[in-house]
Amino acid sequence: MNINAHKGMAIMGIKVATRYRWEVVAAVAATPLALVIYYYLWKSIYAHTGQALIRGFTFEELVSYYVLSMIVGFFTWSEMDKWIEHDIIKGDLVKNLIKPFGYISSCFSFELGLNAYNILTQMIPVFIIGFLFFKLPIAPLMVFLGFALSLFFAFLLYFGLAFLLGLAAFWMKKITGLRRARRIIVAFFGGSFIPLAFFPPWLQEISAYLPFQYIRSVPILLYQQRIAIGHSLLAQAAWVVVLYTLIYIVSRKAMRKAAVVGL
Amino acid sequence: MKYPKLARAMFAIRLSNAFAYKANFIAICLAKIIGDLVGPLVAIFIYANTQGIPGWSFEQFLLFQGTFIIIMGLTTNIAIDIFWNVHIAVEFGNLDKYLLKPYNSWLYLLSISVNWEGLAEILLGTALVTYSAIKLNIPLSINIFLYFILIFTALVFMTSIYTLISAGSIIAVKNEALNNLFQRFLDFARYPADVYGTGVQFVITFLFPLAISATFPAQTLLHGTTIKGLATMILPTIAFFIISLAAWSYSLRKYSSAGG
Amino acid sequence: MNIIDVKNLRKTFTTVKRGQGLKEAIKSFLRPETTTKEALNNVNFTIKEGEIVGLIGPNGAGKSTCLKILCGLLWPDSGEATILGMQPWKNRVKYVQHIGAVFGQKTTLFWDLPPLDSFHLSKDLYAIPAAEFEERKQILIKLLEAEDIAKQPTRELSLGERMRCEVIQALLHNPKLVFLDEPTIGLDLISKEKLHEFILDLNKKQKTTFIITTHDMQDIEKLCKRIIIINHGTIIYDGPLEAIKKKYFTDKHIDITFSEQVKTFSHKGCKVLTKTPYKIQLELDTRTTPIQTLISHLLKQYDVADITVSDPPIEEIIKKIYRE
Repeated sequence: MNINAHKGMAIMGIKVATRYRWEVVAAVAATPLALVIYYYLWKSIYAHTGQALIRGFTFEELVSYYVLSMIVGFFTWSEMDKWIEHDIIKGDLVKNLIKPFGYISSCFSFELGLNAYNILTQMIPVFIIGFLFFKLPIAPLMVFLGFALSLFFAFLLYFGLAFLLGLAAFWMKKITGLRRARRIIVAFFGGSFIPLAFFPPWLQEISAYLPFQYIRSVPILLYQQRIAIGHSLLAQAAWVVVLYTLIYIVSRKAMRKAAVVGL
Repeated sequence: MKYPKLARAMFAIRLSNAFAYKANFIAICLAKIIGDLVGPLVAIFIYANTQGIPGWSFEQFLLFQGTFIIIMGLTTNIAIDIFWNVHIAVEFGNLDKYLLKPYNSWLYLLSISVNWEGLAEILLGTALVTYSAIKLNIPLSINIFLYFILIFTALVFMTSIYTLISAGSIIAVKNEALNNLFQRFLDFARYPADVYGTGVQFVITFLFPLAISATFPAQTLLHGTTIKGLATMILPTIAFFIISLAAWSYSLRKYSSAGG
Repeated sequence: MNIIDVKNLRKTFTTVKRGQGLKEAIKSFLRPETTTKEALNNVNFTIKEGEIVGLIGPNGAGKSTCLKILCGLLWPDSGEATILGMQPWKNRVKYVQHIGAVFGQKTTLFWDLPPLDSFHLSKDLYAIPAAEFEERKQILIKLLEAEDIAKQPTRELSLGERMRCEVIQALLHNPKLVFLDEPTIGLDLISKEKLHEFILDLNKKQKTTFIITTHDMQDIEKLCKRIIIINHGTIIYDGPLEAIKKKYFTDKHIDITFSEQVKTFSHKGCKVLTKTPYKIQLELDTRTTPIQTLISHLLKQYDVADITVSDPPIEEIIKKIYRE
């Protein structure tokens, strides 16, 4: 696929995104709500506990953790598995999947376009809300660039994960359940609900070997300068390689499966 | 009693069709349980690292979480598909099919929107509530009866909400925006109403009575209530229910005069 | 006895304009433009019990709007309609019990369930006695040959298969009056014929009244003794099909492929529509020249490879009626 085709797919993504204008308005309007919830919840907990520092977080730091978590959440989002499931039920996937990486890269451009739109309409407003109302610190330029790169890797990982899950539809046909589990597991082990530092040690141990924290927690902690930039990016890149190798293997298997059942 | 009969028939049909994709059926149940375990797990992590939420011991908070999960399960079984059925019909320009049936459109929609997907949640929530109730030595009293009444009230509230969202998606917003917005609002119900400031508390008690889904039933079971308290908890929901039905018939009137 | 009595029906719509492209999308976000359109303008007609009436007209002429009003789904701006002794949109719940409706492209079956499940739900919906329901279901399924397809989820059916199930669904409660909106769209020849036979049979045996909108001349010729032609929201013809057939269905389109090069062609009553050296399309006025005459002339004079005779599309006939 040439660069123009990619551009076309990305513009498609943006157009699809603009079609849902009310959803965008609603999403932006709703973002401060979740922050208000966490703000009050932790305010009462910190007051009740009487410590300035819990698990290495001051109250302000924890609130800005949630602001960043929301920002990262907007960008690391993909419904690739839904499209694949849809295509399989409709029966017009195989022609797209003949070249697994041709298909995946066109989908990737599409979703990237969609997410680029999200940056404008959701991420930037939340950044501003965070700066103005929730004392989100402004990071130095280097950290900021590292954060942006880390976000991109995180998106690659989330997209790959959703794509891999979508391939399960070749065997299961309907993957509604898996898709829902995907959303929750990534959020939970990624530290979207509560920072991983609050997990009991054994669970932290387990999640260290899972890719999910590299999708949500790592970019956040990187922005807060709690972890080293170079090291985190390297770890993310390693997971990208692992995940996409896995996709390559599984999609070949899926193709064989498709040939057998004649989808 | 044609509506309950219809709902029962629909429930049986839905369940038997879900069994057709067994792997997906199991996955949906598991996903629901995993999703619901997040609340209690976060609660465990919070109470392991901090003094917790003021006014709520760990077991009490677990009981709160269990109550919330039960209400969510009931909502899934009864109310959520009201919105999805309307949303899909609006998207396909197909709302007519609900008007072509010789029924009251809202009751018809309610009857065919039953779902089984909340069953696992209801079980999990009940287990959590039972466990913490035993731990807390909650005595047999009128409070248990009131607890069930308030859970039913919560279900009425959730049904009103989904009716209201459906009406909205017919009138103006033909997509999932309203639902997404409400899902964000719903997050307020995940924690006891008393953690929020008084302004927020006032809103979720009277204007948009979200506190009925979990806070009120759990508080009543734990500490009891008065007649006045009961009225504060139930009346806003009744008002909300009436408003949602009015909105529904308004939206249909508007749809039938505007064309699809 | 009049089963339908429609007087002075009027309906206008307001719609939001939506353009193409990113710029238009942003524009419609900021300031949506609206336009109003007169869908029905003073429509009057009556229909007797046991009739099969074809409601025809070009796209956007107001057919669907008219049908929706008659089904009780839309409120007209003004005017009256008495159908089966009721005002459809005012007594909707009671009224729709007695009618059946199929809207071609839009399914009333549950999308993710097999049609059979939807049928059984109809039993509860219309409170059909079990024995009567079983009997009717069996007859309908057999007539439309839907034994196997009724057991697959609706979303997996082809358009023709689904349409057969839609018709079954619409007729299970034995309605006196049936509305069919584009019932044969996308159907193959065999399914189409099956549906035709079925409609005629039901009409003869049970005196069921049918109102059909269609773009398909075959549907009309096979089914309808009477047609109502509607254009720009007004009725421009209401009467027997035969009368209009004699007057306007006199033209035929004839496509001829030659085995030799033909430079010019002319014949009495013929108008050349398109022409290439080996292919020619004619419009023939059968009042001045019968088809047989033309064809024998062609076969005698030229080396003809292929001839196809067809009806001109409905839009052209309407254009003609409109011109007069």
